[in-house]
Amino acid sequence: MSSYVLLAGYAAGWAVVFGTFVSVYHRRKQAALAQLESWFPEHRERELYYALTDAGDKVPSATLQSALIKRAVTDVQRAIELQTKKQTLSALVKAGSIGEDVWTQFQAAEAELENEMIDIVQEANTIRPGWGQGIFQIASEILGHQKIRELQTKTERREQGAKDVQIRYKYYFDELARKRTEWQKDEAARVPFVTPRDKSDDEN
Amino acid sequence: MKYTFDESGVGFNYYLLSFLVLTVVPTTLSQLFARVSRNNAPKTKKHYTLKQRLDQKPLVTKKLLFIVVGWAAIAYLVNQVLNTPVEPSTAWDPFDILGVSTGATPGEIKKQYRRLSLQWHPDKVDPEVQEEAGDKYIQITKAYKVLTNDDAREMYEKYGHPDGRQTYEMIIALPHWLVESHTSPFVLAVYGLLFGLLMPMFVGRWWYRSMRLTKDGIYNKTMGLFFKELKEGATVPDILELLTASTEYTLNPGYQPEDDKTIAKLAERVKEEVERVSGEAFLRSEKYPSDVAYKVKVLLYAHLYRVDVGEDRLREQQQIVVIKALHLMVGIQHIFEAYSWLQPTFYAIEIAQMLVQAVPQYDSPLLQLPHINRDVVEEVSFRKPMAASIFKLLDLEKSERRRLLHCLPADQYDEAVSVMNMVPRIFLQNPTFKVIGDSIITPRAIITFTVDITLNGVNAPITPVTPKAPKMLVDADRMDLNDVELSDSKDDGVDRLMANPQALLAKVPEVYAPYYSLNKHSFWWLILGDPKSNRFTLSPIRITDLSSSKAIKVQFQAPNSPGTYALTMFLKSDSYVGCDLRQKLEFVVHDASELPYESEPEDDISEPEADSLAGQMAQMRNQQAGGGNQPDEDTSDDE
Repeated sequence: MSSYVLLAGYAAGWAVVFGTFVSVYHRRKQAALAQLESWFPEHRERELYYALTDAGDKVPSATLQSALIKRAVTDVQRAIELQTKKQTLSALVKAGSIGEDVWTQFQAAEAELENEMIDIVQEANTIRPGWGQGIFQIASEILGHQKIRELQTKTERREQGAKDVQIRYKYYFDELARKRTEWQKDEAARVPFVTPRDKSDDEN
Repeated sequence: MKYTFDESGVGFNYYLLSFLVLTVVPTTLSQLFARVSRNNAPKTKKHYTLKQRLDQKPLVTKKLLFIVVGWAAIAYLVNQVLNTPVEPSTAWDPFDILGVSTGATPGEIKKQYRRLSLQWHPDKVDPEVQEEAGDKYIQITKAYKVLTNDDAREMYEKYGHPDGRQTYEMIIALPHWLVESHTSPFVLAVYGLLFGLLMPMFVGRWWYRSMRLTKDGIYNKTMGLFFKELKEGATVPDILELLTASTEYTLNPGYQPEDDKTIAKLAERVKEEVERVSGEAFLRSEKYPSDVAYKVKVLLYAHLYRVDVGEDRLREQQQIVVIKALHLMVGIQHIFEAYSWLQPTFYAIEIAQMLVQAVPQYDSPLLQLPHINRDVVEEVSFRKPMAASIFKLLDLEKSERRRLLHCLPADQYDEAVSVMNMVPRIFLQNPTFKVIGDSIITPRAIITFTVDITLNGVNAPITPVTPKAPKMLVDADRMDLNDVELSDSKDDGVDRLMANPQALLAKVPEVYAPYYSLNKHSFWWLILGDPKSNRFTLSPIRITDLSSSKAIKVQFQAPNSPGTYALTMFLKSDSYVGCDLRQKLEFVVHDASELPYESEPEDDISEPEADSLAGQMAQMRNQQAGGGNQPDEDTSDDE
């Protein structure tokens, strides 16, 4: 009799162990999925576009169109990023340099972007029939311009920063300039020095 | 057959003992050797040495505890085994029972039997030993029978006993208490706990912990961030900014409440120095505005621009930040390499140099020398713009060098010069592109690139100037080999060997890096690539055993179409600024039709073997004469 009790207890014990294992595993997996951040930051242009469509008929069609183009620009930018990174990422994940979860993120982003692009084409066609084919063309041109402009502002900002530094640390640069004129005088007074290297060159 | 359990516990003890020895001995050995390898204190000067161990191991680890307990258990078990009497299980031996030697004659046997049977006959002994005597008498009779009777002898020879087959006893090496029915619930419980609970728990914990880190030991989250953010146009400040956002830094050093004040104060000074020297604004990052990231940025820039952080707590944390940053750069470099981006990879290598030497980007390599601060560098580079690198300074005449560094007192000057001589100076020789077994390079063939790298700057002692040796200048405590040009191949061989007595010294030199608190050895990166297209021809190769000279051999595939291809070979130090070498090379790919006609291998043996050997020799000579790879003569120190 007691051996049956023991057997039942043993089986129950294992059932508990396996149950715990399975539940812990799934809970952790769920938590990891929930924690999985998206590849891209939030899509502000899309939010703006939907906010405008929700506002109803008050919004003029031109505004809606430009909002959609802006949304398409962001999507083109993202598509280019995903396309250029895909091969390298898969190589890195295979090599073990990057974790699997980044790959999961990437695939989620890809799937989302695909839906997003289909969505844009549909929206474009509802605003103006036949516009769906051309919108990404326009968007990529705008993107090119945008990049050039960004580069320009970056350079301008750096130049401005350098100018500011010159003004802010004027005392130091003035002192340096003073020292330099001194050194220059000092050097000019000296007989020109010939390095051994120069000499050997002369011989040859 | 009869099964019994191990009553005395000897068998079980043996089993436990062997198990323990198999686990405890390797653990002890690994512990002992780990202690030895960890003891690599830096031999060069350090401004600050790290007090905290980065791996943070307490004195009494679990491993140590296991070893101590394990050895104690082994000692106990050995004692047990030695002290337990084991009954000798002797075989039934008729000679032994009769007390005669094995080869006794029948006469002797008979005599002994008589004597013994008289002695042990049950009717002739005292009543109290009668029983024992009866047994003994039977045994004696049996033994006698075996030795004299043929049937009994046959039985004995077959089964080892005159009565035929004996019961066969098996002892299971488990102590009896383990299998008794009233202890079985406990045994089951322990078993279940061990295999049902503890083992899955440990495996799970190990698994989830290892899932968080990549192969290089960097957090997955950090690498994910790096991968998302790194672009081909990434600059050094971009990469440094990205580093500060690593998950590693939130864990260590993290952000403490007292940092509010100290970091703000330090940031003021760092900002001034950084902006004045680099001309770039120093601000809290817009992308990673967290407190930790800002703190790490301040500490990192304070390190690069050598701003004293003021207190030991921050000094300690700064070192942790720097050491970790070098580790993180490995991951960043892996990403760049995977894209095969040339310039960003250079930035990654240069950041490592900058971190080890605490010299910011575009700043003078002279700053690596002791006592030479930015003011001295300013003066030297103004007075002699050509002498702004360590090697150029070394090549100057002694008096001229002393004049340029006149602001240093004599002892400081000597120290600076001695460090100058420690800085590795690299030379390349005989770079060749070759296809093994062919005289020319054909499309898609596997090209073997070979080059000899010679290191001359590391503690090179004065060598006797031989008449045949190239022009040398013996100055200070170092011999100068600058005049040995790359193209100067006629002086190869003997002289090069003589100029390299440390060829025997197969030890990689330690890096002089006073601002980096760990012991660091000087390694090199070899990169073949095309700077115009910003791509590698060959992924960077790390050279970790360059102590004097080394022949490097790498292989890659030739391009698809014939033509002349230019590529540049880069040799970059992983720890010194301004020691890198760049060499433009080119190789010619010929059309496959230009290959000398090779006849199909024939079965005909009549052809003399000497002929084919001669042919091979000729081919080899051809290869050496013209490989179509004429290296450009310009070698320039990178930057």
